[in-house]
This record gives sequence, structure tokens and C-alpha cells, in this order.
Amino acid sequence: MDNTKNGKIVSRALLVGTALVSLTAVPVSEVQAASGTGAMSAILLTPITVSGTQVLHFGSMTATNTGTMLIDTTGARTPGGAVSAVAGGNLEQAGVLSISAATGVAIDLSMAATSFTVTDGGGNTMVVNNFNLRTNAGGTAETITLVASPTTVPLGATLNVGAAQVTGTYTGTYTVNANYQ
Amino acid sequence: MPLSAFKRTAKKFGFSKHLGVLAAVIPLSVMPQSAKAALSIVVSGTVDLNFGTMTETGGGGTMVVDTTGARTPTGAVTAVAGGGLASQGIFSVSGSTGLAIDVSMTAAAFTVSNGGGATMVVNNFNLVTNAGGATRTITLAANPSTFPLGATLNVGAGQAAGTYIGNYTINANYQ
Repeated sequence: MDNTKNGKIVSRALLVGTALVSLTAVPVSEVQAASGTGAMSAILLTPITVSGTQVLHFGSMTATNTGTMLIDTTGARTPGGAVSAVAGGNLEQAGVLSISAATGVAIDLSMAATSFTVTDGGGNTMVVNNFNLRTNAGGTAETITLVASPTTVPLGATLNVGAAQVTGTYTGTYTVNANYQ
Repeated sequence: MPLSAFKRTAKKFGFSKHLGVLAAVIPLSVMPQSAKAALSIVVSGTVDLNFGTMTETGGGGTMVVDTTGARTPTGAVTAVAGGGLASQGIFSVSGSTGLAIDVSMTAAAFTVSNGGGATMVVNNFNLVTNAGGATRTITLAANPSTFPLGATLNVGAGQAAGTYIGNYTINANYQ
């Protein structure tokens, strides 16, 4: 019996010894340095470029008094008031913009101003306004998303002819802003 | 005293079944305080450090995302809203509360890649605050606690467009 009890004592002592080893070993490993990783990301888009690839041309006309000449986004023109369309080489056409940018990202297009002027170089001017971007209902601001780059966008506008507008060839420029949303 | 006599004496005081337990408890009390207290540290990024969407128009520049998530472009870099993706990074630290922990970026700069061979360098990391720099001492108020980090993305002149991704690594040690 004593031997048996003695054996139990020995085995308990062994258990205690085992426990001590693990107790002293675990905290040492827990204090060790840790490192962790985090993710970083950025999306760089192709800068947008916009250029006029086709002149917005109101064509040839005569005016006996105040009137307008409207070019829609399909290139069709409609005179108003005392203005009459003249074939004159059939130069009239919608303006066309070429837009290069990232595909699949919404882009805000807008006319930089509601009206621009054309001049004959001799001090006479006419106002061009009521711009329509992309469609005849597009107005001066439109949101587009390119499926392919570059993509062309037509635009139309209205030329305002004065009551005694001096004859001549009138030219000018318009500006369109484009920004990723 | 022979062992059998010792056990008989001990049994009178009701100790015989608890000898092993007593023997185990006593050594515990002499263990170093620091070893008893410290939980293992775990560090992990929980929210991407996202510089968001931007364009670069030829001269190169940077995009800074601060620890609040505000971003500031410089040079030829322009911020684009692009879905509002921009965010400061958030990393989580698990460990014992109330102990000073040194956290540090394992390098001054990391890279992001578009997967097509083009890379950009991310540097000027700020841990916890915008003046935090790349090394910082923190004390956990709760386990785990989260902390922000910001950095600067360096965009090259004519940098190839694309989606750039990468990782940073943080070390953490008890002081």
C-alpha cells in the first residue's frame, strides 16, 4: 500500500512539474513581437481630353430682320424669324466632340458658359446659345459614360441674327468642361 | 519522517488530496509579473487604406490621405469622387490593455501595383494621428482597439492608368 501511495505522490509531482513547464513557457511566447498587414489601393483614371472634331456650322443664310438659325444634334437646321436658309455649299452640320477618358466611369459634360459669340473679324458679333449636348433634349449639361474611348458626342445650338446683321463669315469657339463624377 | 508517516499526519489536517494543488500554486506566485500579464499581440488591417480615384495629367504628383480620411492632391494629380472610395486605413491591435505597445511601419515605403508591371510608392505613413509618423507608442484602452493610419501616394508623370493594390506591414511590441 505504501508503495502504491508513494507511486501516486510521484505521479502527482510529475504532473506539477509538467504544469510548471508549460506555465513558464507560454507567457514567453505570448510576449513576442507581432506584425500584421493591411491593404492599400488606388484607382488612377486616364485623364479626360475633349476636342472638337467637327465644326458646329450654321451654314449660309440671309436675314431681312431679327431671327435665328438652329442646328440640332443631327445636323438638321431650322431657321426662325426673318432668317432664311441658303444652301450655299451645304456647309451646315452639328458640332462633334471627341472625348477620351476611362470607360465605365460617369463623366459630367457641361458648356463652360450658356452663350458664346461668333465674330466677323470686323467688330460684328452674333450670340450662339441654347446648346444641346448629345441629344436635342440634352441641354448644356449632360452625364455620359464611355463604353469605348474615344467616343464622339454631337452638339447643336442656336445662332441669333440681329435686325441689321452685317454680312460676312462669322467664326468663334465654344468650351465644354468634362469631369469624372 | 517516512513518507507514509507524513501522509498520515497530513491526512489529519485534510491535506492529502490537495498536496499536488498546493505544490502547483506556490510556484505560480513567483512567476514574473510581466509574463503573467501580457496577452499575445495581434495586428491586422481591417479597413483598406484607399487613396480613391484620381487622374494625373502629365507632371506627376501625390495624393495624401490623412488619418481622418481627408485627401489632398498635389501637383498634376486631381481627385475624382469615383464612388467615394477614399478612406484612411484602419488597423486593429489585440493585446493586453494598459501596457505600452510600440507600433511601427516595417519599412518607410511600400508599393502598390496595377498587376501589369506599373507601381507607385506609398510613403510618409502617419500612425494614429497626422503627426504620428511611422513609429508610435500606443496603449490599448480595450482589447482589441482600432487605430487609423494615413500615407502619401506618389503618382509618376504619365503613370499608367489602372487599379493599384498592395500591402503595408506594421510591427507591434510591448515596451
